[in-house]
Amino acid sequence: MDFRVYSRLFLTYLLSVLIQIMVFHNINIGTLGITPLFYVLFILMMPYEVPAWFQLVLGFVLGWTMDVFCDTPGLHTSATVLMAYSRIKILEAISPRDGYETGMHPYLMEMGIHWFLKYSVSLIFIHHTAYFMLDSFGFDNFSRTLLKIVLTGLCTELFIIFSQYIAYRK
Amino acid sequence: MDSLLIFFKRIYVLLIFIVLEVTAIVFVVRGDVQRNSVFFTSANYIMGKIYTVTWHGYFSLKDENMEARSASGVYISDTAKFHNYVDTAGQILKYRYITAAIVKNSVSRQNNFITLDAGSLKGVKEDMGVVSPDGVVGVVVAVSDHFSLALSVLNKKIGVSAKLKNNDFYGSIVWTGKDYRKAFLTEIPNHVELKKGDTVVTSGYSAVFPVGIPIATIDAFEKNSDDNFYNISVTFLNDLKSLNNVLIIENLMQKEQLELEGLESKFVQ
Repeated sequence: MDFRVYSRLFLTYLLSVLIQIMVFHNINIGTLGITPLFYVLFILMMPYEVPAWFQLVLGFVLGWTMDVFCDTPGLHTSATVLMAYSRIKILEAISPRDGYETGMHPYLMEMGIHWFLKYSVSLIFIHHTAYFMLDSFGFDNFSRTLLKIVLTGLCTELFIIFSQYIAYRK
Repeated sequence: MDSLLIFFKRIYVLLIFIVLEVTAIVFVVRGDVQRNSVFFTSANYIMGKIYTVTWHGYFSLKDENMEARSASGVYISDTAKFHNYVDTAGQILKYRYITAAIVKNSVSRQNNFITLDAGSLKGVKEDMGVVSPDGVVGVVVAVSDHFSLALSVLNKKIGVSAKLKNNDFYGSIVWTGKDYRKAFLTEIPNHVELKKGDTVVTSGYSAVFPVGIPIATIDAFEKNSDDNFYNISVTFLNDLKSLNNVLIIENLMQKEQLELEGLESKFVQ
């Protein structure tokens, strides 16, 4: 329970939400209307030492914030809570040989591109799948939903990687 | 007892996950339809302000805004298009118009909403229609002091009562949920003659929109042998992705009409 860790966490939360609303909400590519869901950065960047239950709560808070902004009760929240839970499992599955040490972060520069791609691609895919499946509510025009998941996921991934080179350098 | 505690310790994260996820999904399932609480939507004051700054401060043309608004609250820059609906002095006024700018818009979801910068202080109420000079935009569903939230026509929960401009057969416009430019026109019987490019306008039956406001043009149709209605695909006249200014229409006789129509049930046995 380090104060520095949590103040940084709060700052990341604020920035992820603000950047999503002020910048990415105005991006709308093509007839599919692709809007990158950049705010998932907050979940991806959560430090390892945050307790598991609190990670879930933070996921819930982030999703709820987005839902208030987007008039989509529960939609973002379902996706972010699922993502936060999957993160716990995925971090276990892809942990380095010596485990995660205190002071380490899930940043590209610290963990390497190979680890980071596995980590971010799988989590973004889980989040986007939940989000768009619930949005279209079931399997109604499934191929289109699938296309949307993949394309939006690619956009999000691209911007997340950019953010690593811009804001998360050593 | 100990083993129970250990077991609980092992699965408490999973339990918290299930509780939070179920809460969220419950909101998704019963969400959208009724939105009585404005507080939890972007029409609330703070959210509205943030959106006003971002959407308008950086991404739209302010000049255009000013031009389209007049002090009296009546649309004047494009009166020609609205000529039929603006009553001149001496006639009984049926419709009143309130200008508003779009503060937030979305076209990428299955059920899209629009936030407008006019609220109850400007006289906006629920169930008022929203139109632009090109056509129908949506219907107001929730109002706060300074903002209002409207269902966009790009929302599967809304069907706009519509008719063909040249022969008055009526049906309803329902969004496909796929392309923000396309919708379906339903309930047009098979025997009606259609042409590609025919205009679809509001029917005026719903007490929300005046009659004859353009909505879309027909771009494809085919006869459906299952029931005796056409499958018609139409293209919206509005570009719903690049809207800035709209008119909110108040039907001053809406209450009277709906009250009278409410009597219908009395005569049906």
